[in-house]
Amino acid sequence: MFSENWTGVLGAVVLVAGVTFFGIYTALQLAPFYRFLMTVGAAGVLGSASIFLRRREVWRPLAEWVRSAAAAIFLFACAASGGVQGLGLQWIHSATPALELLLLGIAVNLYLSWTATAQTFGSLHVVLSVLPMLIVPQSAMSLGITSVVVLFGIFLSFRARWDQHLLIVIGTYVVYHVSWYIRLGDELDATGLRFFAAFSAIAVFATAVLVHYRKDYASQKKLEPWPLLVHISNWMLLAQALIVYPTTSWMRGIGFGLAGIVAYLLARRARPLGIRWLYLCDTLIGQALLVAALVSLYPLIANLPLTLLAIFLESALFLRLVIEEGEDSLIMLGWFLANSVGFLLSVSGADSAFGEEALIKSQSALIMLVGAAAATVVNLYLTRRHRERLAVLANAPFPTATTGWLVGTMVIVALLNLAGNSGMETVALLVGVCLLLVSRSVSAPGLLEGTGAAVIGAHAISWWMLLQDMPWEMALVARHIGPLSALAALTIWLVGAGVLRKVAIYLLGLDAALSVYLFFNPISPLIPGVAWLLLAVLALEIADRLEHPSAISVLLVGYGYLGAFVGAYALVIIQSPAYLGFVSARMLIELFGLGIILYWWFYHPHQTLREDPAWRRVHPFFVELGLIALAVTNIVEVPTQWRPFTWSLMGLAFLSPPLVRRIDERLEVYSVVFYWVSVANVAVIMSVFESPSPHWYDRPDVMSLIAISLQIGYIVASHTHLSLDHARYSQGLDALSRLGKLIAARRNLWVYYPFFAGMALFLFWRFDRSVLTLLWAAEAFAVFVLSAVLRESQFRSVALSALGVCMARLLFIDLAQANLGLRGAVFIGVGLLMLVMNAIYNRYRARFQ
Amino acid sequence: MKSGLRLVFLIVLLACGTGLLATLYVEHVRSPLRSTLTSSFQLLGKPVKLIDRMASRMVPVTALDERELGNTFRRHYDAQVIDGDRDQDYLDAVMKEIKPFAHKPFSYRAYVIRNYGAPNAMALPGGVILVTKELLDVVQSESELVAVLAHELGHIELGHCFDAVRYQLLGRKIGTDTLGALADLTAQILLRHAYSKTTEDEADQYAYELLVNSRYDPLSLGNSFGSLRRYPKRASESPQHADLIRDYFMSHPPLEIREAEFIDRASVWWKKHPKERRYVGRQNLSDRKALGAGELNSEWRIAPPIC
Repeated sequence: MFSENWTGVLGAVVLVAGVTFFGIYTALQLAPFYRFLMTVGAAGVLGSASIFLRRREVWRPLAEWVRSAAAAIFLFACAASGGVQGLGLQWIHSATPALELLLLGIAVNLYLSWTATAQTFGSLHVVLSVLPMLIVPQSAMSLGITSVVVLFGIFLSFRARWDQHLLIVIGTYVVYHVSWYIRLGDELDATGLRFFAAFSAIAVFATAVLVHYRKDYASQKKLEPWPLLVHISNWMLLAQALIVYPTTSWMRGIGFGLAGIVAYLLARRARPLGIRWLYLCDTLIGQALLVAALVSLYPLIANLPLTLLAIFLESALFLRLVIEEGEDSLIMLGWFLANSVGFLLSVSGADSAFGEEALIKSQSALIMLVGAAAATVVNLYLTRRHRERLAVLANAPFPTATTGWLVGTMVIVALLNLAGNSGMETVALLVGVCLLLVSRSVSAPGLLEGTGAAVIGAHAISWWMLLQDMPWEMALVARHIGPLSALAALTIWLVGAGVLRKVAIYLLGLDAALSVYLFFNPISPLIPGVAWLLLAVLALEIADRLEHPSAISVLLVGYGYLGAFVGAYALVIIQSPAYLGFVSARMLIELFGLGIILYWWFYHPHQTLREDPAWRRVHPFFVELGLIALAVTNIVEVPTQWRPFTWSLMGLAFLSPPLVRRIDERLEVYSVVFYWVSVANVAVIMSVFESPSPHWYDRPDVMSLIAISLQIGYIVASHTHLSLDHARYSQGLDALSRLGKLIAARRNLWVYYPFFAGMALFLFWRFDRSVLTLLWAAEAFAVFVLSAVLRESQFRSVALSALGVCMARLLFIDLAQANLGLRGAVFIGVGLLMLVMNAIYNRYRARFQ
Repeated sequence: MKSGLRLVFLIVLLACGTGLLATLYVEHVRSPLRSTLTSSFQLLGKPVKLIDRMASRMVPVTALDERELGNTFRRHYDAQVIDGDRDQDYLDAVMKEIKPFAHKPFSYRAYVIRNYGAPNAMALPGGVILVTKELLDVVQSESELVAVLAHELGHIELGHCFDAVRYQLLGRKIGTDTLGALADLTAQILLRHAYSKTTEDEADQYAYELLVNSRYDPLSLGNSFGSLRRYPKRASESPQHADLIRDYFMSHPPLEIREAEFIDRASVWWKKHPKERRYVGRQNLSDRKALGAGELNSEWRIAPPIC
């Protein structure tokens, strides 16, 4: 509009400016009344000129602008006559005549706007009419006059689609209104003034809002920016009035509420008229105003969750209304709004859960439960009545299951607020069961997941609280854990065979483990570990009696109990030195643990369990678990000087055919490992170990001798029982398989050489250096004999090499010994051994070849 | 396993488990700390220590070298001994009681260290034991002092302190000090923490065995840990809960565990030996007169103690 008429606008402005300068100049020369006459005269000249110019078609646009300029100058002169300070035009000093003159000026301008054929001139004269009202002192009168002027301006829009004009008029009024409100200050509190101001604003709004409900707009199919902008501006005008004029929250709330209802009803009117954009726009504005109404009430209740609950309920109602009308965009918006507010409600509830005040927490819990109930109702309503509409939500920002999830979230937040109360678990049980029953009867999207989350959340909150505030009295633990376990059990019963049932089984398992811990830890911290072992057996037995997949879940719970025992052992049991009578309590627990592991190993379940990967992948490792447990028990409970003996004993035992047959043939590989450990213990630890005890069974040399005897026994037994050629190994035991194959390929190498080396080292570190040569020679002799017995020529080479070392030592070290007697004894001993070796070689030559 | 046999096994297990639970419930069996990983790390340290010892034993440094090293230490500390020092004389007299239990060819001697600032005792290779003056003030009886000395003796007899410097000694011998120090440092970084908890436990076991076979009260080892635990200037109580990093880096097992372990064991020992009598020596400690110099009838414990 401006681009087309810029020359006219600019010309009028320049003209007014010129006249103004001239007026100022004359102001210095003439009295005010004559100055007024002179200005009016100038306006008259311009008016006459415009009449003259209008006669010719080519000058008509210019004539319009000149006429407008004349009207503007006339209005300026009228306004200045009554009281604009400093311009020197004031010649009227009484209010009423001044106002009458001003109204005359306004009337002239409004007449011109009425006669204008273009929006530009219509808007210009309305705005010009408002301008003096901004200058004069503000009062109810000034607001009233301005409102009438604006109403006149709006009325012009009813004749034709003057959207830009309407926007300018409403914008001008908004500016004026704000200015009026600010400048009035404390005077606004005068009786009735606020009401009058609000009434004026509502009147202007009401007139303007109806503009778009005319048939003129019915043909508008597409959304156009100008009408929308006008409409929104108009509503903003109303919103502004509703914000500033009511003095109390409830008045403001009622104002917004009524406005919202009006907007909503207007929107319903726009629909049959076919003005879709208006229907959408006013529906949304109505919803926004209703939300604003509820927000306005916040100072009255000072409770954010409650306010958000009210908004949530209102949004749910809004969703219900729009879903009935079937407008997709509004359904998506209502859905988004309800879920967003629900999320905010949950967040605000969670915030109060971390506060200190119990009353606020209880209130929040109640609000959350109401919210959860409302969300459930919404979910059920949508599912049962408008299932087909849910397809629309496929493209919505939140999936259709969101409301169901919200239910769970709100219940969790409610329980979080109740954490610490003895009744929290009971509430969880009641709510959980209700939700489970609903989920069972109606397949509402997300509701079962939400319920599952609530059940998990209830457990997590309760466990966290119970573990935080330990220790507990038994009765209190029962009051907490009882309903919680009942909830898990009922969940297992009520939900179908799905993920939630599995989860509930795990929760029930954890409840059992935790209750054992809470009940018994204060009495004895060693009890929970033992109880978990018993529960592991119980879980195994139950798992074997259930159908797939519950059986697997229970089996995993059983594994969990075993894991919990390992944790308890590593953290608590191992450090306890307590005795039960004359026996270490820890050792009894270790032996009991070994028994449990053996039971698991020997257990042969039914097909359901046997063929599941959870059993097949884990169960084979119970051999390793048992062996580790045995080794740990040995290290923890057996004194150092007895350990080589026990390692050897275990090595021998694992070679025993009945044991290998009953447990597994890979036990033979482990027997070699235990034997090696025994050899290493003798060589490295027992060779230098000292004990202050005088008892033979504590003497390191005696115990080493016994261990060495058992090692020799092992070597002998290995010839008949160590047969790893055809051993089979479970999946995942590749390293053990490789080791088994290595031993099977060169059994003598892996069994004898560690022993020879261990013995040599033991002799070296344990005995006096003066007899070391003799002892080594004796060992070399034994190896030599062995080479004949086993027909292992390699051993003969080793024996002869060792003998060579002994000879060298005899010559270079023993010969220098101070003790002649000892020197002689060593030489004689070594010499005799060599002679015997020679005799054996000659007697059994064939065996050595 | 046949189902009948399995059922029997199950019944036996359940019976044993229930019996164990009932006994633990009735006896109110406690653990020294609520939770700790130090004992588990100590357990894990044993195989690590075995490997370390296998490696260090290969180093050609013998007990003879350790004795030479000990003699060097001894000369240094002998020079600091003041004639007529009651504490030193007392330590010498007490050492006479425990020396017979030692098997290594060292001239064992304990020295008093003054102005150390905390109750402590240390063992050096070659039979040298250092005892701070504060420790003499903290222990409550001669038997407790013997327990501490026996613990340090255990470190030397079991080769712990010599193992710690074996690589360095080798470095000196072959003239490449840097290499030896490097090997020593590497071994310390890799093994020190798990190793030290394990060796401390071994020395504790040694000390307990020594006490059981001596004239002193076996309870005194646990009591000595109690005395150290109650030392008012102790940095802090042992934490009640486990911490992976802290527990790994702890050089000693927590005093609470050591105290409980050896008091429990000694209590069982007393139950098994009701007719025994063992020396405590509170007065001996305050008079600085060792048991060997004259026993006091009131210092013999004859009845099973109440713990």
